[in-house]
Amino acid sequence: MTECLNEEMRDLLPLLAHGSLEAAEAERVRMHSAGCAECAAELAVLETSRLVLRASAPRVDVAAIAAAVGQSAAGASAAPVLRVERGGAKPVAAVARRSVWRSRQLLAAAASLLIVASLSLRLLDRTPSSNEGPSAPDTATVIATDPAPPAAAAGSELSVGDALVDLTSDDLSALLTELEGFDGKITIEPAAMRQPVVDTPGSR
Amino acid sequence: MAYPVPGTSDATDAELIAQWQGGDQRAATALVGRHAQPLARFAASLGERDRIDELVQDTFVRAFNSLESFRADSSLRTWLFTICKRLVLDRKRTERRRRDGVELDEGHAVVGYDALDGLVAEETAKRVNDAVARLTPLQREVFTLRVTEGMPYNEIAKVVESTDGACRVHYHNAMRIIKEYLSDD
Repeated sequence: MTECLNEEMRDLLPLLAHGSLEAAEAERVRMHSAGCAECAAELAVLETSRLVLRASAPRVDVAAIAAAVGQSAAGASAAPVLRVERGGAKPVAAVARRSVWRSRQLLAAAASLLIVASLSLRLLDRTPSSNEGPSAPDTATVIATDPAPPAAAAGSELSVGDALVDLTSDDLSALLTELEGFDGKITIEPAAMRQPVVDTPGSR
Repeated sequence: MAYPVPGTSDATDAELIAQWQGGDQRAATALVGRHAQPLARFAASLGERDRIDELVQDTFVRAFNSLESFRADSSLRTWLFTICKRLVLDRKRTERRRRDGVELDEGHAVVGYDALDGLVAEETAKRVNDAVARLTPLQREVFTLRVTEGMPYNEIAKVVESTDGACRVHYHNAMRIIKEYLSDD
């Protein structure tokens, strides 16, 4: 079987059969084929082969595949797969445990601050009135400075309830002993600690 | 088969990818509609006959899950074909292991399907399929991509992991074998 020596044209024949050539180029190949028996025969084989291969190929359910792929994509974005990488981010479970521990730290720190405030108030209560200068405020204010970070501590005035003030020294000592081992660091100020200052005995 | 999605028919693949990454699920549907059937044809040319839907679906799922690795220097279709081919090879390896080393017969790729849509006579279809079946797997792959998908050689080379020149040679050898077979009778 003879073959056309124009390789450029022969290379373009399958693209002409496919219909993917630009109009001008398609016309150029058609013109060549019209005068070339070999290329005309090859083009006929290509067109037939293309029809047969396309028709013989299995039909897929495009709508079903699109739906399945869409669900998979939506599922992936709604619930990302947990991946633990060496040296990378910690898995969700570890983050959750850390969150619980942080909450406990915050509670302990808040209790610690309340205890310190109570002790201070006790001391104020036992201090002779001569220590109160003429410019002393009407209310006793305890500024939380440690262990809260500066941003959280700014203006954080404690409110001390009667029940806490009424604790005995022994009760307070016991609580302080329990908290001695605590070395947590406060990163968030509990909302309860933002309450306004209250009156304390002897302040009026 | 076209699977039109309103408002997406004129968008390029790159635009649809961007839309999908922006949360538009219709863009993913449009991409599937555009490329599913060509992927099925390609899978058939690789000798796949069973679970083609599943294969095409897996191709899209894998592609959409790793779009960040898609390089714009090739077309999306070429990239999809590359993924599809890897899945087919994985399947063949799995099946080969299951059959305890019995080699698969890769010589009969596009046979066993019906529905010729009345476009081509049954006898002609059989002869063409027989001719294509005489090609080596690589020749068949290149020939199919060139003739049924109209791919340029540089894109075919990416799919079959070869060079442009080698693909061109494979195509012309395939063409010669087919013409000789068809002119024998």
